Amino acid sequence: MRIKVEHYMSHPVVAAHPADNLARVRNLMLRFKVGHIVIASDDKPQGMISKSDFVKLMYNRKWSYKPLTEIRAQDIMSKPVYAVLPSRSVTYAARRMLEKEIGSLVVVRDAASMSIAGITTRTDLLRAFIENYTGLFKVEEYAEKDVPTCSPEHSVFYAIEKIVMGQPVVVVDGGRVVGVVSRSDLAFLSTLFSTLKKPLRVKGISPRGVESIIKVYPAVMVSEIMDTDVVFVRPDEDLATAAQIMVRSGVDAVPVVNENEEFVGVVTKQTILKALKDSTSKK
Amino acid sequence: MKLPNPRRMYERARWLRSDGKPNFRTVVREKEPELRSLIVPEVPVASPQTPLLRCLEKMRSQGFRAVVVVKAGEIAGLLTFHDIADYIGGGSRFKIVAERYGGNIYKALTIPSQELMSRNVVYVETGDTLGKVLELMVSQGLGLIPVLDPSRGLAGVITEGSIVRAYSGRVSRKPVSEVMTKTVVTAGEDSTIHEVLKLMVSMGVRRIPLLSKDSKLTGVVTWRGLVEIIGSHRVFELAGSGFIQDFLKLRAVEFADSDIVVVEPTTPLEVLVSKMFERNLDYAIVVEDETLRGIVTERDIMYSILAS
Repeated sequence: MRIKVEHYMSHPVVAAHPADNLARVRNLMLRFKVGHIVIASDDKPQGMISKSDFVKLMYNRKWSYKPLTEIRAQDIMSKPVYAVLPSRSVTYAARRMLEKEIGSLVVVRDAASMSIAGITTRTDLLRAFIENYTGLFKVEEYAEKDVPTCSPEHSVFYAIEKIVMGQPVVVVDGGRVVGVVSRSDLAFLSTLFSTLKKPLRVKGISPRGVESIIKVYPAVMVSEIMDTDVVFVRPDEDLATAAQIMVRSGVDAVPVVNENEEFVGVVTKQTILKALKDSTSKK
Repeated sequence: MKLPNPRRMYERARWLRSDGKPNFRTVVREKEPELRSLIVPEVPVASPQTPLLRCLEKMRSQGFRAVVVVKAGEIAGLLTFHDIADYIGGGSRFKIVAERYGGNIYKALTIPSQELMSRNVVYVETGDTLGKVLELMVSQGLGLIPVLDPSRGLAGVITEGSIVRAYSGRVSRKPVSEVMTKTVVTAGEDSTIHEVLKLMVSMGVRRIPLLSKDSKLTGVVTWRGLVEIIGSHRVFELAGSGFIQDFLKLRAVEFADSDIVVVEPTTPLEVLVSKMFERNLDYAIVVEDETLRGIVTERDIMYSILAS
């Protein structure tokens, strides 16, 4: 049986105008509890703003000091918008997302008018995966071994850099997983940069080796922002279990640990999409 | 020849009953139960920079009234409902919302948890005794103590509720009227959320019964109801224009608990406790002839267990 996109999309769609400022876009995200806002004018989708665009904003030196009310949606929105018809299968949608490295597709009624019928995101596809493919895949077949990790003492900018490249970061301390940094942890941290502007004056050893008052720029460490409520999976568990954890707790990554609690890999939303893509050959 | 009792010692002008050496025959031996069975491991945990909104989402999903803030395996602070109530309208920290954020609720709820949490948290370690925990709870008036495992970080928390649950077999058959709190902090039925929050912070309570003009119970506003509104993002809908004042001036009755345990003063405590556990609530209201007589919280029940 073909599982269609129309069963796994959310509507109504939360949309904003290209000329709206980013503070409004953030308010819409919080108010309607969504991660993707379609930027549309005259019912035609122009672009998309997601939580990762907010993270990118922090990384960008040009934008990061500007207040959100001064930035317009059209300046940072991701273009173009990729669309999918409601009659296409979820497998096709997963393949399309992986190809274009995006997290959501606009569902349009027909190709000619491009009027919006809904939106399907990675989380919607995860739900499709849980409901239809439970028991078909194992974690160890798909777990990604080569993923960025960092220690709790790393600067938060290292984590942001990795997240901008599309990978959630697993925080490892001495072989043991202590936390995960995902997009939603970083997206609306406005105070992060205001703390960096002024140096702190503390007693310490100056570069000359004399005890004096020195200026310190406090860099925020990963241990201060990471989510420490980590749920693990074992390599021999079902992949749908990992998907279930991501849908329920809203994290981007589930670390895979072996019997000795050592970190062996990670399952991300991308991983589930890859499994969904391969599902046609397996079922 | 009979020697004098070696255990008696003459000191200045009087006889001491002991020579100072410990007498092991009369030591009272008691084995303290381990804390392990009392620890609640599933507690909401946050980092110092976690936004307040995320903390509230966690509190809502886990049904817990505090978030433990952990930094590098150590307990950095504790963000309780009182800190949040103080911040969103009840106390002096409401100034932060009004002056720094201009009352903008979207900005106000993204404040990092470390700015609101209470530092210098009283905590115990997994090897400590129950006696120490109870002593801290009673002497410092705490309802919740985090437990630190020295090698693995936070192990969980011990609450009054978890103690009551563990010793629910020892609850007496006394009538409720003997253990209940008789001086209840109440509010009028048309008081606003702002007034209720102020009462909660100034009086140090988490549950406020609302009374109508002829002093009949119309509802109980609790921490759970308020956490539910904010944690489910409904607060943004209620504060239509995005200002927290719009939310604070709403009537509190609309957010009162729908499920309340109401008992007579003559009900045995045992029956009340089983009723509370059944519905997974942490308090009960005592009503006689439709007038409010008192409130029973987990603390009252714990103290009654300790006293017996």
